[in-house]
Amino acid sequence: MMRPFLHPTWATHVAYADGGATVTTSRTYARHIMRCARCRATHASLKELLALSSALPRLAPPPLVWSAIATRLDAGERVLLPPSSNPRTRQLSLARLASVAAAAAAVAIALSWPSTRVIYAARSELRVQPRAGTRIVDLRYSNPMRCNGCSRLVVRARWRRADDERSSDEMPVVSAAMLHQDGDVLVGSVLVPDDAVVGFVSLEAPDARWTDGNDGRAWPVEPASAGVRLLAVQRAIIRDLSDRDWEGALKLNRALVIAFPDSITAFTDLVDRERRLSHDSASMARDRATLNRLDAISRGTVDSTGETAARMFRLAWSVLDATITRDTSVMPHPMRFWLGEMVKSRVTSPLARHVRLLVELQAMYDRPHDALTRLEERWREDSSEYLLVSEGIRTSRRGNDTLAAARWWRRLAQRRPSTALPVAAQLSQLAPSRGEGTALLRRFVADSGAGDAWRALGQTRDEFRHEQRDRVARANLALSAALLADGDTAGGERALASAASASWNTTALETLAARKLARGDTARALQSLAMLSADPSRATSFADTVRLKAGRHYSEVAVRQWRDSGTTLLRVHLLGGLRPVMLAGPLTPVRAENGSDVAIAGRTPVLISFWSAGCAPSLEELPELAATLPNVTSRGLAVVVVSRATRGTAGPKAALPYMVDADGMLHRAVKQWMTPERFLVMPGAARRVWRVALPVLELPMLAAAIQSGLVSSAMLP
Amino acid sequence: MPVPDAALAASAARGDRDALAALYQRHASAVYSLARRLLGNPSDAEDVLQDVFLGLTHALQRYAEQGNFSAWLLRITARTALARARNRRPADALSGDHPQAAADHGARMDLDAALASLPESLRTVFVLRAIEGFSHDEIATLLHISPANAMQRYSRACKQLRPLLDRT
Repeated sequence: MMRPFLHPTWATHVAYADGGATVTTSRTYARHIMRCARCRATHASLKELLALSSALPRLAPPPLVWSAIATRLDAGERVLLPPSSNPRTRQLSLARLASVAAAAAAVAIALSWPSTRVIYAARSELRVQPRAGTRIVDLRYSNPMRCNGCSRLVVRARWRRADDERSSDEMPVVSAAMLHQDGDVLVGSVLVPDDAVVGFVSLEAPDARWTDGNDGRAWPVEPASAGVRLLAVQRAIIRDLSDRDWEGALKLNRALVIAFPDSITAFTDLVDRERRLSHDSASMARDRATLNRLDAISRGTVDSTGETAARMFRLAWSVLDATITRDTSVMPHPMRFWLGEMVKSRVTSPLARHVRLLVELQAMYDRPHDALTRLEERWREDSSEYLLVSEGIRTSRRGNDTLAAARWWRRLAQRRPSTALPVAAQLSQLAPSRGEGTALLRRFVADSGAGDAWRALGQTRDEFRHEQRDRVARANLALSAALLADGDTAGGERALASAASASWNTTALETLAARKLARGDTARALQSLAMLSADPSRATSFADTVRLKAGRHYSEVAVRQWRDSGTTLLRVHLLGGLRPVMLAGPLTPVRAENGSDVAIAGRTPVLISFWSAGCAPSLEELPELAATLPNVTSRGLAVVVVSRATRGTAGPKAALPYMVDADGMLHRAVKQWMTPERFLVMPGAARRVWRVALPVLELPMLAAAIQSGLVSSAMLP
Repeated sequence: MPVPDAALAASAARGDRDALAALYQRHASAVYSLARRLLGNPSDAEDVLQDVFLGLTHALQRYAEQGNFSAWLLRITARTALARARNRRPADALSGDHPQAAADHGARMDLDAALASLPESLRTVFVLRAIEGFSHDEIATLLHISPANAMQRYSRACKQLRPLLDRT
């Protein structure tokens, strides 16, 4: 990752100018070039080079070439051209060919249209040079977002072909262009294929990692009649994501449910996705709430096709898995109701086929091996159905058929590369595939920072590295479970230690400590627990744990050692999150406007949190800040949230001490230019100010550290 | 209203010579420009242009209609040109006149001149990325290299081009 105080490497210059830098790097880079004339000049010349390159004219072919071609064609001459993409080297079975062909058709549009390219452009460059077969669509966005730190906005447009309704669900993100703010309106343009109908536009600020504050609603560029169904488009985006980024898809799906509260499809998609992602986290209460919600939505829906009933049935099958029995008469009421509704009408979609299979499987409830045989038959007919995989896993579990379970888990990993790690963990827990799963986990741990692992997960290399530590920790945890089950205690504990050190994984630390304590190795157990004590919310409980579990090994010396090492770690962590600020002007007295007594001139330290009504991260943080406020203020740290405009202050006014810095004096004094950003003002004549880079959840820890003297002005950098 | 590319492609796939001629009218300059900038040689570029349209009728049998025709055609052109570049003798490379020789002046032609002075491995990546808008993944697939290598070559090409451009 680029460091703001160092000049960027040439590769970073190129990546940023080319639009290929990660969000974090772009942000740091943008900050850097604002302050560094040399790098700004380099960036400008690179931009000029790339702009010149993309504007190079087409060269006219020599005359009479067509005549030559026609003559050669007349002579019966043929040339065999290479394919447009690399042939697959892996051999495909006949059964898989059909699914591969279907998948290829589904992504053909994405592959054959111009690639996504973010153009960071100045006003004069807003006009994109149209290529052959493309046209320019002008955009005018009348609900612009405002974010003090976001100087650049990027628009991404999705479309379908004008004459093809079916492709509306398969629209890829194919182009991006720049928007420019003109008063209260954003204007710009985007390049699309000739026969495209623009249906959906989203905005992003690459510098600040936020998307449009449009509450997830789609924004049609053309009249709705000419555009696509907006819900369908957004579902298509989510579907694009769900093969490579489950978390991202889930997040978008949640936004979609908020945007379309009465949409059964959006809601059932969400429930389906949540259940696929985390089978184990579902509770009975949540399932009941889900079914009630489904019931409520379906009552207000007129559906003559039975489509809804089919969706409901399938979802209820998933939700009520535990209560499904062989006897239809005792089938849970919602499923019986929806099955009846479906039978009454004519269902035209593939969902009907799914439901028929589910009913068929239900008839074999007491014969899981027959059900597995049926699923295998269906798999041989069509291996593209996710439903088969989920039912295969579920049924093999019910039948205690570990061989079949391993087989279905492997199929899941083939279908979704992003599930490689959980599948390896599952395989390592099944006796017939424990060796294979363990080997996969070992390879995952060994290769996680190199090779193509990042590509298999559909991430950029930087994104991959960012999440790598957590994944390595999870892989090590799963590996330790497998090794311990296999009797390899030393190997298991080594894996636990690796998990603990990879990402400060609390589960690993706890398990490691418990094992050491059980073996009587108190010193090492305390070492693990000391790392955990940096989290003050856990410190007390771990102190008790030590006392209880250490038993006869407990000693005052050991506890003191634990406390000392814990406080040192905590101090280092907190100090690392504070950066001194040289004030650019006097700090005017700050007083919250809604009755609170926050005042910088007072004796208490104050946390000033700058936010903006148009900045999505700011808005996301405010509820977190409000929730954390009692824990912070009760430890003697006052909080005030500050914005430059009065717009959108109703929410914060109700929950947090706030003020409006209309003339920008305070912003200028601390040189604040990006939202959200927090500053700590310590009491005293010097009025020392630090920029706080700690997450909101760690603010109580900071407050407690200041209160207890663990962190003081004198220690701060 | 002009006939869409997809309709022309379907007709050309059935052997309709007029449709093929219409596709040539629309896309010949794009195909020729890409081939010439990749190969740096007008006669090789003309050969590629002829080969592409000679083989197009057959290749269109593989063309799935959901895609953008011009992007598909440019990918095939790039593959054909790169295959030719691999097969030709080193002495043949850049033996002809460059776009700037025919040219007038100005920054665009200067860039063509600067491009011609780049090593082939760097020029190929730069042309595909900066001029034709291929993604690094697509370039990696075309050149049988890793995306990281494609990005590295692109970065090096930019580094070498910048001073050349300043000088011109």
